[in-house]
Amino acid sequence: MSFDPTSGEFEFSEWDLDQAVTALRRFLREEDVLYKESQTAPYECDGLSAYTRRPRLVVLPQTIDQVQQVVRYCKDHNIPVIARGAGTGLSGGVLPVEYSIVLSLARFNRIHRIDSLQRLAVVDPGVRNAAISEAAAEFGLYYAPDPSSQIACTIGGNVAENAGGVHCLKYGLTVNNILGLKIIDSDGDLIEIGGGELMEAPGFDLLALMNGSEGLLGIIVEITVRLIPRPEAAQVVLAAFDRITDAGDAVRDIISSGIIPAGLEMMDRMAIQAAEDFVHADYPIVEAMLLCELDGTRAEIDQQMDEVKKILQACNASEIRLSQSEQQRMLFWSGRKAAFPAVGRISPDYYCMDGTIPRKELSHVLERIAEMSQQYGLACANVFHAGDGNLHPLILYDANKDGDLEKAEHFGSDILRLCVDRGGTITGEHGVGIEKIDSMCHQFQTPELLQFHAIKDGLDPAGILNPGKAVPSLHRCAELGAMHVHHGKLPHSDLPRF
Amino acid sequence: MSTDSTQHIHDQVRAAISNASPVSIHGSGSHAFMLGDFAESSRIDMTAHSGIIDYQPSELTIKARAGTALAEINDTLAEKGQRLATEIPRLSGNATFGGALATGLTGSGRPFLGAVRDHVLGAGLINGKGEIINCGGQVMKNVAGYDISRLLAGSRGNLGPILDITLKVLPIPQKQLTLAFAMDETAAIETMNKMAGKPMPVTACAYIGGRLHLRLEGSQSGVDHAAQQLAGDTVDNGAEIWAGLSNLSHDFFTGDATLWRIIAPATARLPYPDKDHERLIDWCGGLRWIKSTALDDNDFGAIRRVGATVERFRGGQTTRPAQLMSALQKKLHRRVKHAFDPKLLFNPALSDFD
Repeated sequence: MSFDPTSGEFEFSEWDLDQAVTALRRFLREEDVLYKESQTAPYECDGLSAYTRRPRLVVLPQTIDQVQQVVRYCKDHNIPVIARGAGTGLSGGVLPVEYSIVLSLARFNRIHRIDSLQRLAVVDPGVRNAAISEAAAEFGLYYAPDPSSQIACTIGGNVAENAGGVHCLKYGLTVNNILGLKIIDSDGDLIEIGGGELMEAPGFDLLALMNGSEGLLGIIVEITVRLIPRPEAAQVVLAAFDRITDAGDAVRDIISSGIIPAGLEMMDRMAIQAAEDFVHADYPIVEAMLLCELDGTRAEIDQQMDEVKKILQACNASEIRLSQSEQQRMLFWSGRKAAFPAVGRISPDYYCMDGTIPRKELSHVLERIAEMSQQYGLACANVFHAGDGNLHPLILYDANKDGDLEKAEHFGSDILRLCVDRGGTITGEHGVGIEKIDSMCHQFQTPELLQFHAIKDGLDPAGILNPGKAVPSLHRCAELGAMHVHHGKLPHSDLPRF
Repeated sequence: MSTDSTQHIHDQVRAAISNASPVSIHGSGSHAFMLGDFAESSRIDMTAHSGIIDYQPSELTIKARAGTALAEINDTLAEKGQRLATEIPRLSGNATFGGALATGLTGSGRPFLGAVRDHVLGAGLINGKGEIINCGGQVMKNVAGYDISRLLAGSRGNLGPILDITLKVLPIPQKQLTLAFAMDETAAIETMNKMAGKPMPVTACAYIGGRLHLRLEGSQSGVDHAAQQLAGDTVDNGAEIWAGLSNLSHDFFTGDATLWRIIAPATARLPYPDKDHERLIDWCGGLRWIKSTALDDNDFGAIRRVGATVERFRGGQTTRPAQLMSALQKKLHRRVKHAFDPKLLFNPALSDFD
């Protein structure tokens, strides 16, 4: 048995590469089975490039039948299989594990059909997020969830991670915009999940279970997505604040006034400065800046924009700018959308966190992060989805400096711990992957972890689907718990702990 | 009181485990007609486990115990100018919060406002090992761990008694307006879906008694503007009609005739049986109710063949979800059931996934 659900431990063993290549080439084209180092290198990590491992074998099946055969082969030979889209994930979710095969869905890149009257699209998992909206544009429709990597990330990966984005505040996460899936389970069976064209499916909500399951419960091979009408108009208001707490209050007051903006984003001084230097969006260099987008009919926007402006003024905004054209709206967003690479320019490396907190905790948590930044001696830029409390602190460090990465990781896990303690979660949209697996121990107790392992065991008894990600073993959490108790024995005991 | 009721439910689950004897989980009984008889000699009554635990209007969330009456939740929200983010049927009885998630029914807003599951942020339950599982939370975005709280939607008590639920709530829109348009059914279905594809604040479309009914909700200006463009007849008792469709209290649903619930591709032209029946269409065509004393299950073969599911919803032996699943879908359900309830103790009469 390679998976033990009572502990959550996995164990796999060595297999013969030549034998596997020969066996897989019986049903895959020669060029779709990669094993030379030069070929497998691109698959050694995802967007979290601090973690790498070269896979022994990469397969690129072209048909559903081939995916089924790969899974059956892996099951019969007890080989871990890691499904992968574009590799833009930020949590190491597709990091190869020891003795694993990476299954790329890159060749599944067709949009099968768009039903404009029913407002849905049936697509392959390897279709890019943005490509769906591009294809639906001629009908006045689009696919709403818009992770910032949307020009590159694939819809299959979006489902696996339950991806978010700026517009999730109003239009929901991936899970709210997926109507149906076809998956290959760990037996190699092809199963339809969710209603697809039907708005309701009988039984448990397995569609919700699959969303965000990070490739541990099945491999997604077809997706039916909801399309919605593109709003008649959209307008952004940019507001500057001299105090970050005022900006936090404005977020709270806008949401509780009954307005649901299409996007409500915040940036702090360091993020504003970096973005401004990078894209020259003419941002005011202040302590905090809000971008609030309203969409809908022209009449709705005008009415709600008046209310938003009043709230911003009441919260001491030092400057309020309204986008007066589509061109200016895009300019306002340009700095926000380029914030991550902009921060990348001012620091050799950065570490992006993804904790989510109740909105009312925003000011407190931002203050604590600033204190931690001082204590760790690492700068931290904040740029985030304020409207739904989803923080993206970017911890600046230098991987070439001894101990800097470890310091950044400790700082990061302290932030996540803070988020959980304030009633939030360790990840709002990036997923747990391998990166936040230790933080899971802080968020969940043993009964929940055992329940997660039981689900994994039920749907994948051999434990071959992306093992070791998303849910930590009990042993791992026990060790961490012990680490927190015995402060004197902590690794990196020279580091300040608080 | 509340900790006592949690303790009481927990004790009952532990007793069921140690005696290896099945137990059935009951709310107010408002949905009993669709569930059929599932009572075991040992029953867990959830209605005493009630009360709102945490309601934060500025966070747009409400957390309440499973036995809390939906009516109480609706009233509490309304006091602060808010409501549940979609319509959850309370039916004729005193439907509970837990029952709403466990049955997973949604009213007319389904295509626009989503189902109950779309607004679930967190839930607690007791599994078949007697452990209390808390999943999700009270924040809008959370992808840590498998989404157990949403999985519970439609679970019918099979995965364990649900203790509490956190749902997203929304402000009550400034204005609601219902418009009606006389036309035949085929035209109505096409028109509904065309309107749903336009950037207008539509939150429900139904076809009732020869007229397309369309609900607009949103800001005063947004609704007025859309109403002007659409130019339909204003329906004065709109709110009452939509509540009637959601709670099955509309005239169409009265009487003893068997009620069939068809979930169809919204725009499909269905081969309806030619025996005497009445129809009502909701969800832009995605939900079609058929009321008849003349039809039986065999009359729906043609409809099933176009990809719709047909459920005997009220009257006689009602359809169980497992009857609508493929063999492989049942396999997945069986496996999930075992993961939560390995001894198959909860609602065995509702877990025929074999």
